[in-house]
Amino acid sequence: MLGYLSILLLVPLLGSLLTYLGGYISNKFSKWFAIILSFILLVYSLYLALIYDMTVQGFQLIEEYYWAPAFGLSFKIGIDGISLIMIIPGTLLSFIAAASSPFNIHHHEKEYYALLLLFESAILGVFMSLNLVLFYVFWELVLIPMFPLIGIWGGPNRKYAALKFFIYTHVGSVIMLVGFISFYILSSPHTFDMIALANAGFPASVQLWLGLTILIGCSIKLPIFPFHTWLPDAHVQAPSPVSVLLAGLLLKMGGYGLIRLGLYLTPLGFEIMAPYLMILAIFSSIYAAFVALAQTDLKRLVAFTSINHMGFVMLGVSAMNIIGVMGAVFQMFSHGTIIALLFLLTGVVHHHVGTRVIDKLAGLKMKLPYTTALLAFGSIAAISTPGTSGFIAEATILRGALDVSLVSIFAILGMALTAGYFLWMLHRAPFNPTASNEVENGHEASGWELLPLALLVIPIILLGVYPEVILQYITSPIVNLLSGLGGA
Amino acid sequence: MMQLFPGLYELIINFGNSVSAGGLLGIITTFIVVALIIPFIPRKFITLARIVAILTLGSGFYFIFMTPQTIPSYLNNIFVYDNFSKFFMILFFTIGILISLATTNTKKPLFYSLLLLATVGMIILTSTMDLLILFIGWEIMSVSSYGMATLKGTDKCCEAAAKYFLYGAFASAITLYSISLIFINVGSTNLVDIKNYLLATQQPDLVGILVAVYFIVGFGYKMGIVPFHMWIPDAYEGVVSNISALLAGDTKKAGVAALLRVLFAIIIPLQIVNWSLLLALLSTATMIVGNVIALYQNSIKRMLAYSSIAQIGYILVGFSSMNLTGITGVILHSLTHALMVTAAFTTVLIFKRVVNSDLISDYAGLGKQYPIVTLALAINLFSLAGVPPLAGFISKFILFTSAIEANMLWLAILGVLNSAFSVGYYLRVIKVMYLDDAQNEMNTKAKLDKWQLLTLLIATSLVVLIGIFPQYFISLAQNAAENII
Repeated sequence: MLGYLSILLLVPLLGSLLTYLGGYISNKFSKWFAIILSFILLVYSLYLALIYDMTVQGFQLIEEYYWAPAFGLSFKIGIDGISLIMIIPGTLLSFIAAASSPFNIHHHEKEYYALLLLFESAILGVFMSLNLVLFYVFWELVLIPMFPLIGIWGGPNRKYAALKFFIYTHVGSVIMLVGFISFYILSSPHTFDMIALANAGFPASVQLWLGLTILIGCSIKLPIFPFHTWLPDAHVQAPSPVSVLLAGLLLKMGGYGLIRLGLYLTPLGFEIMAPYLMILAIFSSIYAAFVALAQTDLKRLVAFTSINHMGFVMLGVSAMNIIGVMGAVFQMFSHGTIIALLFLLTGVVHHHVGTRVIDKLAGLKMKLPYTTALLAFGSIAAISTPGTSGFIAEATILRGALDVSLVSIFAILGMALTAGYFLWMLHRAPFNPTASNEVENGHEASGWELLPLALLVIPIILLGVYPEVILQYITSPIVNLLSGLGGA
Repeated sequence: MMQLFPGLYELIINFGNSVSAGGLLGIITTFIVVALIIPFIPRKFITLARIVAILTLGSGFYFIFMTPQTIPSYLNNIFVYDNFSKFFMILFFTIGILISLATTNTKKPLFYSLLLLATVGMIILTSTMDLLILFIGWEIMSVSSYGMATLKGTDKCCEAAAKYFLYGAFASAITLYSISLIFINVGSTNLVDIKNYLLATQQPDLVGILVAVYFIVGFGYKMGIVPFHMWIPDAYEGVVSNISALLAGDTKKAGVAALLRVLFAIIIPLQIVNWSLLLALLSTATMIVGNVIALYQNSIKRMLAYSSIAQIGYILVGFSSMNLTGITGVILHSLTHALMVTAAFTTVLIFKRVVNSDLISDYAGLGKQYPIVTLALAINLFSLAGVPPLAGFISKFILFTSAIEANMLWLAILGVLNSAFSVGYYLRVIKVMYLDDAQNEMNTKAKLDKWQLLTLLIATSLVVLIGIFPQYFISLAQNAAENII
């Protein structure tokens, strides 16, 4: 009998095959099958949240199957509150991406939807693996559908972006793999089991360099300043539903890895690195904000917002206290929904106006009022205005980071600049009183096209008003996670 | 009749006895007899010859799994029939079957005969404990493969075969030289005797060291260890793709098997030399040279040739860790790489009919025309690059684990970085096939060969299968490794 979690992994995997095969009957079948299946998975993951027992300490719904016991490889999955809060955006954004794809993808549909479901299976696997090698397998498996998703359906420079994306993130992964194998060799008895490794009690010097390999792997995915260059290319070239998956989910793998591997397995190592990470995180977020200021393409601007917001995730993690890490997890959820909305909007705008250049979008509000409203809402959420989930996230992170060091006051500069470039963009483009030629010829998007976007407004406001929805799940796991540290 | 040919009668009785006794002798006898019969099959019935060869190779599995595991007492000191030789025999039979399936482009039944003989040579060299017998096996294998390499008869083919032959002859000479050196000093060519002798003499034995180095050189030629790799790209590119698969999948792995058997018998007693470091340096050079040059290749066959050099570098990582995990990794990676490279060269063979070229750039647009074949090649290339959950990941993973276990973190890091680097050229092929638009006209009406597609299907499913359910193969390799260390 399969457990709850392996069903969540296997259904999209088999669904992916059925989507592809069904595509030989009709492309419509693939499309609708993928959309409906991803919706069912969303409902199923919400059901998981209902049956999730908040009183249980540690992991639950654990399943373990043999894979290769000789080398400690086992198929061990299980979730705690943090995983759950990553799984829900996983299914939510996969559904949103699938639902908005019919307006963006017009060729090779059966392959596209099959890869989309394969990606969903892989990313959910990352969030529930409890064995390091299994984690690595899913971590890498994410790349395989992503490569063609960018490379086949992307923009003009898609091939370069896809190659760069794959190679960049793969290099980070293999470095992390060396760390994983070292965990195995150093532990006795040899094991890849995360729960056992977390209690293995490695000395700080060992944890430091093991943590370093994890840091490299995760900060390329996140991405943090010197490793970020793959992101603008990949995000901008990818079709907007795929950008949603990239920014909304793939980046979260980095943040989740930092918490699940970094803080959980190598807390002492991260404690040593934390002050430097904090500075790096603040720098990364300010740097990204400055670069975003200089962008003329709406999609590139949104892409750099991602780096900016991910800097805050890193900041929260590097604070290494309960409030900071809670903020980081919250930020990952919140950023996922906000950035998904913004990327889909750039897609809608591009589709109906024919350009994404900000200056050519002048007067958007006259021709595309609903899109403009959503764009304004997304921007307001992205600059973390109170009332939206972004505010709760960044305020929590800042509160946690300020407890540790006053340096983090500079992070406010990153927030301020974000407000600056978003408001400036709104001022220049949609709310400009004179409409450009392109906008004059543009049309408002249909209701069906805007529906998935409008759905995203719900979690943003809900979490902004009542953050407890998420916090109740993550508080106790984070307290447990940090219980090994003195500063908690 | 019986009076006329008494010898023949004896021969037939002996043959019957050997086959019915089963085991190693049964395999060797059956293969040789069938190899002698096949050339008499008329060219018209070439498919019959192919089926006979496949069935014979398949009978090897029957002998391994179903018949008693003994060897006659008079061969006790010469042959061993242990898990190690069985594992490599399984490898050679599998690859042999795949290559015979894929070889639909020859009209000469002799090819299959030579394939069987080469397999006999490989069986002998993996299952002997005597250096001279090992050399005989080595030569049977080499000479048969020289023959196969020239079989097409074109200029390019013969040039490649000549290069292969010259380097191979040189390697054989060096191997023979080191065998004679060791015989003069030890007075025996039996590996057990040699090991005991070296263990008994406490002081450093210079001849032993020299011999070990010569063996690395001699077998290293076949394996393609840098700096003895020069012939590989030319030979792999020049010969027909199924022969390239044979060289990369079969004879290269025979080199690995021979080196494993011989080297560890000689070097374990001789611990005054840091063999581990020497092998690690060779491994580093092999990985880096293979991967860097592979990045600059335009021909997919040359790319695969350099990639298989790099893969030998990964295999050497396992050699240099000199522990059970390392040898397990070496043995498993020999199997997985053999499958992947056979599948890859078979795809080259299949696509040759479509694009009539080996250039990577000419593969543009194949993904749209032949999605399934392209997918199979993509799976194998991903597996070669070590992307999970495919076979190549599992075996590389064990290899790198062994390096860390042997306290050679630097080697493991170099290994994974090389592996990451190699994604560059594997992914380029996938990118060209799927993302680029066709430049030249493709012969889209070309009928793909069913046999070759079957080969590809079997090899690719094995690659996926070993990746997802590796435990059985890992335990096979582990049992085999225990015979070495």
